[in-house]
Amino acid sequence: MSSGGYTPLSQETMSRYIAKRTVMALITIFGVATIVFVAMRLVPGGFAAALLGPNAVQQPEVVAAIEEKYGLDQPVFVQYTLWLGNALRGDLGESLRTHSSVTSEIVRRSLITIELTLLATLMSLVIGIPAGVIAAIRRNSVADITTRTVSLVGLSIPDFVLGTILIYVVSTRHIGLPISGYISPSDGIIDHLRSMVLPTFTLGLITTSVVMRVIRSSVVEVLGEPYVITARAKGLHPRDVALHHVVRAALIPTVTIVGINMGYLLGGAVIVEELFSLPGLGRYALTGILNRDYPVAQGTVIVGALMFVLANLAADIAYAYLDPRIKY
Amino acid sequence: MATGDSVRTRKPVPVASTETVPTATPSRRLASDDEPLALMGTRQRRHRSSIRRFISTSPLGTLTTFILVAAIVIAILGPFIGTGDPEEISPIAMFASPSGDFPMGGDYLGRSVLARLVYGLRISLALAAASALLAASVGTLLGLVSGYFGGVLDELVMRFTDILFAFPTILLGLLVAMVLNPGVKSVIFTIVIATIPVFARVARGPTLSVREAEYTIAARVIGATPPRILFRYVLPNVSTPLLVQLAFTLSGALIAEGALSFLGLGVQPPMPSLGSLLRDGKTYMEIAPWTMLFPGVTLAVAILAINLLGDELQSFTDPRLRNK
Repeated sequence: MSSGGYTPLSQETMSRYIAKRTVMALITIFGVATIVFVAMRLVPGGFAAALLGPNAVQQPEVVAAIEEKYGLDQPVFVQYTLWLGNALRGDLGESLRTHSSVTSEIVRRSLITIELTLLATLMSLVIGIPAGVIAAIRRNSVADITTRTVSLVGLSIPDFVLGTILIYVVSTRHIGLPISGYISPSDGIIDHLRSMVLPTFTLGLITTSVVMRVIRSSVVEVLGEPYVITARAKGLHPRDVALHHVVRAALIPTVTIVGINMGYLLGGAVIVEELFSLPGLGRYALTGILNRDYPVAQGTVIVGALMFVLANLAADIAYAYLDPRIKY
Repeated sequence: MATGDSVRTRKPVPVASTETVPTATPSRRLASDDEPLALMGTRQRRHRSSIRRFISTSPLGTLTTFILVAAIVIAILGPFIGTGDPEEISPIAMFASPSGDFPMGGDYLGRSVLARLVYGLRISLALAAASALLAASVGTLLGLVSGYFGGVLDELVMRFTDILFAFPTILLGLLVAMVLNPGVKSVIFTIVIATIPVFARVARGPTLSVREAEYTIAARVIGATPPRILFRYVLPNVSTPLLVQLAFTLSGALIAEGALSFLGLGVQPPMPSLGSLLRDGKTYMEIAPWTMLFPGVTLAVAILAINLLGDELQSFTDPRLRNK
């Protein structure tokens, strides 16, 4: 940063930054696809064995026919370009078990996963931001100690432990919340939201704890900045200083945290959807793996990584818009 | 290790700038290099006094260290202090509620939950420690080399870590479980791959500035070879954030092992781990809740203890946090 203080960034620097981040995200996605492709070629027994079952390997002519049909007799590089071309056009193949299109299944199921991650993110912001701000402003007060304890404990209970215990408590204490299954919004919005309460809480507790901690330390840091001391020295009411000078600056890291949390949420969705029997992307991925349904597995892993990369790209760009101090 | 990624497993959260550098006084490190034997004693004494300072300034850190040491000792010595055989089946113990003979009850086959818990703790801790140490060594080496040499190599390593970062840990675990068969190997592989980029980044940041420090330049001038510079000059000066990261990686690895085994993609029966015990316990939670509660609570307490220790280490080693 130059010593001349804050100079507004030109439109050009900004678009160059966005272009650079986008190119890096594209390289990452390309790398992800390549790793998944290579991993699939390393699967023991290979694709034909997975498709036909172990007995078929004893019939070489059948295996050869299958390999020809799917282009597996081609050189690896040709296979790779064909596969990549199909993936780019949105064709992720069809399930070995149900023969349905992997792409359309993913699109259908990802709605549930996206809703779940959005609800968990909402929970983390609505609870995490106020708690973190109050804890930082009233450092070492009861509120601060409570927030810190809750966030530390929240970070330490893994989602699968929390979910299992919640299911146990809710079912034995006869608390009227659904513990299993998905109720579509078209069957009643209230019932739908009730069925999402436990999954959201299970998935959102850790991210809420992360947001609390980050907001707290970021507010504490900003409180020591010279401009905040100046505002105090001018005689502004501490509450005005907190609201107008501190919180606004301290909230900026939240954008990055939401982006980083996406990775955790997408992984956690596998566990939460399995626990609460929600037919989302995560459960589709898990069933795909357990059934050795390779197209399903590779499609879901690629789409999951893609969502994570895009969320982080969006967070980076938003961060640059919000924080004029960012270096390009 | 968010989890998060899970698992990850939680990834390090860039709160402040990544360029927080130990512009540390290099004199001590330099002395360590060619110091006369007579001085060795002072170094050890300094080391011991910093442990004493940790105990006196951080009672919480001491307590959690104690809990962790106790957990490790129980996990190792369990079978010798009479917790029982984890495989032994006794018909009367089937779904037995906790009592004198079976302090934590019996599971669905009539095996002692306590015996299985002790064995599971041992396996979970060993897996987490092994994979965290492996990932720390490889990741740190990558970060040191990448930060020190810079240029195209640095660019390549950083893009590579970007790609590995793009896989949420659990999704990576799914992919690995398909290529390798689910088991101990696939769990270690998943955690190592997911954690290497974290250590590479944590090691690289401070290396960038230590590279420019006068004592590093001086070492280069007197003809020290790159490996010598990296391990004798750079590594000691970037090791503090790595140590803190190791603590968080351990808890992340425990979570990841638990999550994968819970999903059936990790440790396979009859081998117990905290995650697979919870998976078994979940099935019978209505008739035998103890089979699920004990492993779940043990896992949460172990993770809490490691996280607390990590926090305490962080504020102990970071002077900016010490007074907060």
